[in-house]
Amino acid sequence: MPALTRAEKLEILADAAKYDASCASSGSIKRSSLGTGGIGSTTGMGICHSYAPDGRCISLLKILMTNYCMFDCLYCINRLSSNVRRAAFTPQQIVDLTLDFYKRNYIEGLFLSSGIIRSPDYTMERIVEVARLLREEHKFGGYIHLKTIPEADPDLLTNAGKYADRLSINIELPSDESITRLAPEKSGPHIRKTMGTLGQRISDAKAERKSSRKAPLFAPGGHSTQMIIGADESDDARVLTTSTRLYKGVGLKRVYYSAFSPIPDPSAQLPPVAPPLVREHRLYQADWLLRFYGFGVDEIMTGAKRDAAGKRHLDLAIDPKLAWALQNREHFPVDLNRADKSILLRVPGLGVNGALAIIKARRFGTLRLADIETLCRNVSKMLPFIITRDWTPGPRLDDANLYAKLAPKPKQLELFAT
Amino acid sequence: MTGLAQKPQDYRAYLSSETDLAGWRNQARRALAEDIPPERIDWHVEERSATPDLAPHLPLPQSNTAPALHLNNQHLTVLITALLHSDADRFALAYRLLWRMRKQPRLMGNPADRDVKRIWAMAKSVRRDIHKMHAFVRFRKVGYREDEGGKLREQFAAWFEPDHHITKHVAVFFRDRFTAMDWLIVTPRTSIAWDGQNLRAGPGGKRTDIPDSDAIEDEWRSYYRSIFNPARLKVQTMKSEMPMKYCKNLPEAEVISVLIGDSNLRGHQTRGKVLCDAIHKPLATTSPNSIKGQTQ
Repeated sequence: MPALTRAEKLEILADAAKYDASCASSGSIKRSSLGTGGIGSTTGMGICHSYAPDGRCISLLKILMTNYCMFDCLYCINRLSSNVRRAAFTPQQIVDLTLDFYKRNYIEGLFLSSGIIRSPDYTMERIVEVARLLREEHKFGGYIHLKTIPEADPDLLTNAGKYADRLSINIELPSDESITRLAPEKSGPHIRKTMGTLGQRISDAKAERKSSRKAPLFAPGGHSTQMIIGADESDDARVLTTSTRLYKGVGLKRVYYSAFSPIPDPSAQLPPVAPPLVREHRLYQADWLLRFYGFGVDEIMTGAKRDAAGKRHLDLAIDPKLAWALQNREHFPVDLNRADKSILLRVPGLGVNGALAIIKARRFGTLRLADIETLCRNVSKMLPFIITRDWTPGPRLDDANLYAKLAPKPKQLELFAT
Repeated sequence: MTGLAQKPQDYRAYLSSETDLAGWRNQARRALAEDIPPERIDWHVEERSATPDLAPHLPLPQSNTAPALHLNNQHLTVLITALLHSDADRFALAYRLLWRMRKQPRLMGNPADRDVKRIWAMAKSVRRDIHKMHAFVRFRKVGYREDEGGKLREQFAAWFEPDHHITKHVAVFFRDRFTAMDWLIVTPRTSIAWDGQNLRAGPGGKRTDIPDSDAIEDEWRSYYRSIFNPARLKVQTMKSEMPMKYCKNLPEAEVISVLIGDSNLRGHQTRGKVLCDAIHKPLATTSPNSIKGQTQ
């Protein structure tokens, strides 16, 4: 078989990496190449250099080092028993490709993951070697995100954290039972334990940096994970409980949700169809409520629906905050001229920016509905839930049909639109 | 011109260029100190086409007293950022805000005020343009140059069309990022360049000043094709983040319509209305005015 060109390998190994949703290049320290005379900087803010037609940002060169893999995780396109085309980059090839793309301003940096070859240790060593070459041989200052293999020797983490801005370990599935069933070589408790170690080292390094600027860096952009949605039976209550546990327990920066994409040549143990993409969207919305809006999982799930099998899922028709508000109307209406920030954040249609703008503006005088329209984008959605100087929802809020009035109408027209 | 003038503007403030922020600041201070109301000042940018002098204009008087006006850092940044906007009225608007702040010191913090809302929106539009320039400049390799120490330096060049007067402002970002290579960015009004030692600004140019391809672009398009998941088509999201006006200078944009077409053929779920050539067609007819309309 003739050797693959770099472009052919790139095609295979980027295709293999696209099921990883993370593309963040933000939240790390600031670096500039002016001092080093090299190439690459980070500003703390991520930059999306392009967008694919799937609406996803392209910020990093996201590739696998190889898609050969000795593991047989059923949901994974690169599993041992899959007959997908295989390829492998050498560390030097990845370094060259990263620099070639970076110098043309296509990317912020590299997101490197890999199938497991020979052994978890061997694979992890090669991943770290790419980062070392970039940082030490080429004075590369761009963003580096390394996927960490939990089965590898913990000592290898030290070097990974030294070179990378962000590390991640995929939790893969919302429950340990599902991991055992679908990813037989992996173990939920072990993954969480490694995440815990990572989280501890990241926060230790951060604390040391506060007392001394010379203290060594360890993944200053934090760590994240990804969970596949819809490949197992777990309901949204389960998914969000797992996320909360990870945010609180191991100090994760982000949980990414990835709706299961049917892969070629699937196992019979997997569902034949993808979950609706809107499920993933609702989970992201709920995740924001957890992280920035002061909601708990139990509260969010009061707006959920129970299906025939007793599973509790977020309502797909309306967003989780609206769903919560409709089930908890005793908290409304909220007086926008008086309520605290934490109460404002509970108003459907009102985001963090809108709430802050209202708090600022009301120092200048009592707000009317017209002022709210100037400050916020989505006032019609808020109307049943708010009071302003010249507006009160009256009996609207108690309307038994409020749900039907606020839910988007079924889109029959789409049948005819082309 | 601006519709603001209730009576003849008897003072004229002279700005040497569209980015003469120091000139604006100086003269705004003088005007405030001399108590000159905003409607009596015509802010005149010399590099714009000259307005005929129908009425005689006085330059702003010199003044030795500093105006008693304090802006916090955040609000100062908003003003200065908004002054890079392409709106011809921005210098007058910024002065009017200063003027009004003498009576209402906390004015800039009131997001419900019309002038305040407008200046914040202008600053936001400028910030977005800066961010998009950081993101969408695409360098093409021009060749090598031997530096003073006899080492080869790679040389790159790019063409970009910003909406606002941001080109000189972003030069520092590109210097800090691409220190080890020579680069040149040409825009219609201004060009900026880095040679390892100095940043230089020069006159604007044309798209044809830059080579029309780079050997690596095929690999980049190949990456773009492969990283796209056809099972998740969301064209509207892509378009809102990567407006068409930028697409024409992105090497990867030429494969977009093919990807969308293939994905539709395979019957994947689609969100947003998709016409295969929708991405490319309107580009040729996008006029500068409609571009401005989109961002304001």
